[in-house]
Amino acid sequence: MNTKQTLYLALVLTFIGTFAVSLVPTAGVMPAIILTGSMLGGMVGWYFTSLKYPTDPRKIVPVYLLTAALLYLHIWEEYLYGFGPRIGALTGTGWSESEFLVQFAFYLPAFWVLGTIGLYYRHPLGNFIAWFVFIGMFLGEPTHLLVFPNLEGGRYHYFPGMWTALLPTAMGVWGIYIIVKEYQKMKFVGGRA
Amino acid sequence: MKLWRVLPFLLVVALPRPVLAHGIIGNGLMAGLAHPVGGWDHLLAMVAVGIISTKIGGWSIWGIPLLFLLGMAAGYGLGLHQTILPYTECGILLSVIGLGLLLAWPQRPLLGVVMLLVLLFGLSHGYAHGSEWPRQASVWWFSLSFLASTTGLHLIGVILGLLFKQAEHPLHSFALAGSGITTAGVVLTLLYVA
Repeated sequence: MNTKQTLYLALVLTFIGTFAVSLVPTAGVMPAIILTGSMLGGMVGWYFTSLKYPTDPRKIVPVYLLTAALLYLHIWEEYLYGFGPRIGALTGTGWSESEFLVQFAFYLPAFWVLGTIGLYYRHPLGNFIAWFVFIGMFLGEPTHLLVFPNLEGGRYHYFPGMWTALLPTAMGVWGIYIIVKEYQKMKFVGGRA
Repeated sequence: MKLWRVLPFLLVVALPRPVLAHGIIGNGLMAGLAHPVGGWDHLLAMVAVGIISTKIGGWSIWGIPLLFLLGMAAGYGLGLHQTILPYTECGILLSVIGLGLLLAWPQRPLLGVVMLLVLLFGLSHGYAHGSEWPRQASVWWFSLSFLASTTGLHLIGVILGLLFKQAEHPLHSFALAGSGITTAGVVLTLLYVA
């Protein structure tokens, strides 16, 4: 690993720590665990693959954008059926609908869109964001089906976002598969694209 | 300057947060940790201190952030004892603009000037922490945790600065980051005045 790669790894590690610290008091422990857990998982995947050999943008950008599009569809379902207040009540943060929209429909997607620029230019941070998004979809979204309905108690029931949760999850799996496949190819030819 | 080179900086500032940190909920350890990262005013100034230290280089890389932390600790003490220190809120906003301008300056800034400003700005930031110390929290836990959190932000700044130095035109990268921080400082001031 060269100096630049080490610096990017250190930057991401420090960023995750700071992000976790800022998230717990405002969003609660559960969202903090899901988000920072996805970041840490993404960082590990990124460290072993695309930090050294950034993924070919022609292969990864379409998958990444498709994931983002399906995620928007998922957020639309969440908004339509009142995900914000329901998850707010579960985590004790008391999020209103507008606070949910600001966080998950405006701020975070801005961050994901920035990732596309990074991926296009084979930037290490763009590749980290891709890993974070894919891992987040893979680990975070199934909670709509497996965790949230059970946390609310009673019979297994509908929880906002449940119908579309598996769409970005599937894309997350596909994205990780593409990155790993491309990494193995690049490793074989010694990083020559 | 290619747009992607700004990405590391954008990554840091893209976090959702209130405009000013003051009035954040919580207490004790978590309140102390969250206070510096809970608003744009503290966050931008503390990251800028880290970046400036790498722009100067040498021992300043750890010396300048340490000076800020010392200023903060002193300011915290003054704030705890309700010592009247006028214009601290202005000092905090001025720190964002001032540190941004020092970064945007096309040459290496004078070390003495930077040291003096960083100490004064640290005092303002620390005073705000001291005067807003949650009464139910431990004085020591709160102070240690906000100093730890501030160190984390300095570290992010130092790493960003070192990355800027790896760029083809390091001064351009520093200038771009400085311009962004100054603009943010002006916007924060306008919001504060309004």
